[in-house]
Order: sequence, then C-alpha cells, then structure tokens
Amino acid sequence: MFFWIDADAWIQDWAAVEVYLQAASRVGAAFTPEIDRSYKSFYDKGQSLDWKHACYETAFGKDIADKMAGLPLINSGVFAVRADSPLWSKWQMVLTQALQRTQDFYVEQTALNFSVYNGIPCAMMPSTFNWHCAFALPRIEEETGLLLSHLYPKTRIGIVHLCGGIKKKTPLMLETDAGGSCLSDLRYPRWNE
Amino acid sequence: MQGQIFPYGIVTAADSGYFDLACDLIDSVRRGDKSIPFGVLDVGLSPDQIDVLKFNEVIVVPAAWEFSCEIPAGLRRTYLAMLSRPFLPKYFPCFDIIVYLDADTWVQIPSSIDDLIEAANGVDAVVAPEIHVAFPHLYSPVSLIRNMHRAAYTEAFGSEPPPPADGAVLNSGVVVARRESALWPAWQQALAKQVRNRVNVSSMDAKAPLTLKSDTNHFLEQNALNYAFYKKQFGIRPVSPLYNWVCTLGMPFFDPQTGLLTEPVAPFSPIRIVHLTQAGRTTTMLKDRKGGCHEKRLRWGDFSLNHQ
Repeated sequence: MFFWIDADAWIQDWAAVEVYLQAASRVGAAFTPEIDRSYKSFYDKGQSLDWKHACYETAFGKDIADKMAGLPLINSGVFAVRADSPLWSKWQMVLTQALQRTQDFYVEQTALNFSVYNGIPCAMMPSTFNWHCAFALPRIEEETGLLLSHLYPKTRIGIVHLCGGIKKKTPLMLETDAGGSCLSDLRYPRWNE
Repeated sequence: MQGQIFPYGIVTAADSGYFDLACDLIDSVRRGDKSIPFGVLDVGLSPDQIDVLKFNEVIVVPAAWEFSCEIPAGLRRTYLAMLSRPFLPKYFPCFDIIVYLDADTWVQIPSSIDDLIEAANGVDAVVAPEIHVAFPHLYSPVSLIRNMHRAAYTEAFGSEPPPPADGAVLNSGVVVARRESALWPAWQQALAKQVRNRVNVSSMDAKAPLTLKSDTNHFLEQNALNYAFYKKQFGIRPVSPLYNWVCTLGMPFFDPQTGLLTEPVAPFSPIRIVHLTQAGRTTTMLKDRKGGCHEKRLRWGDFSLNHQ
C-alpha cells in the first residue's frame, strides 16, 4: 500500500490517513475529488469547466475533453493506492501517451483522472481529507486553534493542502468559528503559534 | 398567538395529499419543544386537516396566486406550494426568520434548526447546494438529473447565466432567510418572469399549459432561485447537504448502533434533515458501513422511536 501526500500538504488529523488506508485496502484506491459546497469553482461562470477542458484537450484531444470536462476533478495530491492495484499500470500507460502531446504542469493529474474514470475502482473521500485551501480558506476554531473547513456543521480538516499560490500568501487573514478574524500562517510549523 | 412576533418560525406547504408528511415534519421538529412556532401554507388541505393543525397551534394560511397575469384556468392549487414560496414573508409576517422546509422533509437532529437560524445571521439566505462526494449524478455529466436541470433551466432562462448543472444547484427544499432579506424580492421577480412567459405560451398553445407535471416545469421555483443567485441578486451561506439530504440524489446509510441515517461515505456523519423526495417514500434496503442491509422506510414515523 502506498499513501502519497504532496510536499505542500500536511496532516492535521491522522484519522483521515487511516480512512484512506482502510478504503484503499477494500477498494484498491482512494482519492479525493474536488467536490465541496464551499469551493469557489462550483460558483464561477464556467471558468473551472473551461480549465478542465483545456487540460484534457491538450493531453487527449477535443473529443475526450468534451466527454470528461464535466466530471469532478480528482486531485492527485493525496491518495492511497494498493501496490497491486491495476491503477498503476493504467496510469503509467495513459501518462506515457499524454506526454507525447504535452508537458503541461497538470498532465499527471489529467492522466490520473482519465485512468480512474475509465474503469478503475476507486473510493471517493470527503473534501476535508485533502482540503484545497486555494478554493476555500479554512477557518480557525478559537478554542483549539485547529483549522476548520466549515461551520454548519463545524468540521475539522483532516489534511491541509496548500495548493497553488496560497502557500506563498502569508500571513493570511482567517475567520474564526466565533465570528472574529486573525492573521495566521497555514504552514504546518507556524499555523498554531 | 395572533399579533405575536416570533424570532423565527418553521414553515412548510401542504395539500391534503401531503398532510401526513407535514404532520411528520411538525412532530420531528417539535419533539423536544412543543412551542416551536410553525406555519403551514395551505395549498389544498381539507377543513378537517386545517382543524387538526390549528388545534396543534400551527398557523395555517391559504396560498394565493401572486402574479399580475391571470391565473391559468385549471391550475391545481397544489402548484401554489412552489409558486408561493418566494412570497413567504407576506404570508407569515409574524416570523422574523423564516425556516422553510419542504413537507417531505423531517428533522433527524433537533439542533439543526438552531444551526440554520445561526447561519442566517449576516447573510441573505441559507441553502444547501446539491454538492456532495456521494452524489452519483456529479460523476456523470449526462446523467438524467443533470440533463433535466439543464433542460428546465435553459428553457426558462436561456444560457445567461449558464445553467448551474455543471456547478452548484441550490436546492429550494430547505431555505432560511430573514423576513427583510434581499432573497425574497429577487426570487419573486425571477419567478414572476418565468410564470409570465409560461402563461403567455399556455394561452396560445394548449400543449404547453402551466402545469408542473412535465420535467421542465418541475423546477420552476428552484430555477428562479438559482437564476437570481447566479445573477448575484442575493448571497448565500452554503450549508452541508446534511441539512437537506435529498434521497433521490443519494440514499442514506443506516447506523444500527445509533438508529440514525447517515451519509453513505466516510466519515458517515448523521444526516441532519432528511428530504425524502420520491426515492425516500417507499420501503427500501438501506446499507450500513459494514456491508449489512436493513429493510426500512425512511419516514419519520419509522425512526421516531429511535429519537425519543
């Protein structure tokens, strides 16, 4: 079993890792799609859809992009996959093909999505297990200092992912669960100071 | 009760066919506190049913046609449940915050109502977008549900703003807002525009009457809500779909240890408000997280003993 975590992610609650491992041991693979009611990508005017379409089109052509752009993007930054999963060979093959057409920064994620959505069994984890901070900033729980994804209901983040430019934006003004706000750094060594 | 102003009130709409479901909802809301203010918009209740509700201190108000155009001949009163929803502050001026719940919902976790009221602080509206990792239609761009949303929305409003079927569809079955919120006029205007178009069409074309029977008519008021939101006419606080769990979008799991319905994926959090829709109204096999199956009806009456 492999548990992969991007270098710009960190674990706030180990329970998330255990759930990934349990799910992958049962199904073969466990990933988190970028699905959350707080993610701004769900409320834009189609820019996210266009971006996904462009990723697929550069890697696989327009026909495949037309079919796949409407699917939720599976984030490749945190996952658990069994060593014997058929995903590995399929992902390798698809990525090899895609690399003939593009060296786009996201090509490995695009190839992963193509592989999973074309017949690889996969357990889908909740957004809090790979929280995309660039899509929705966390809140701070005043009593504990822990990072929250949401308030209704109050939910703690399992794995914080500092995707994209968010890791360079520091300090950040974060809201608290009690209605206040405070300057904070989302990097692990500093977030709870 | 007359003349009294309440800080909040729960509101639903029912005709005689939805009376039993509405009673379930009221019972689930009031199981800990019989004095929780409750209003029912009457869209076709019988006199006996109205008496029962009033005896239980429920405020009952008859719904009316709210639009400047003439009411289409033969329009069933039931449809006023949808067409009157943006006008709730007019019907229930006694509630400062309106917590609207469809009659086919019931409250599994009582503190949900407090959460929703708190969430309404400082925003125009609290709704639950149909966004959850366990909803299969999100993984199928051409699913029946998404195609239905697209067709209904585009027919009503064209493509500007684009149909939310590829983004977040705001479900209109649970809506919470202050009486003076910007939500209500924006929603009213969007719905009025749609209704005018429909009535004009129906007066010329007998094949396209204003009914809510066809797929494209079914989401009239929900589409209007989404249209006004995506036109940025009001803002929302999006709460978890656990506060409006639409069973048609994903059947819940059953937790035999707690007797609660939960979301069907990790971390298996309990559902706060169950929205039966069609899928939840019949007996069904519910899975649990350990692979077991349980034959269950999802009605409040079948769960109420677990929640005393």
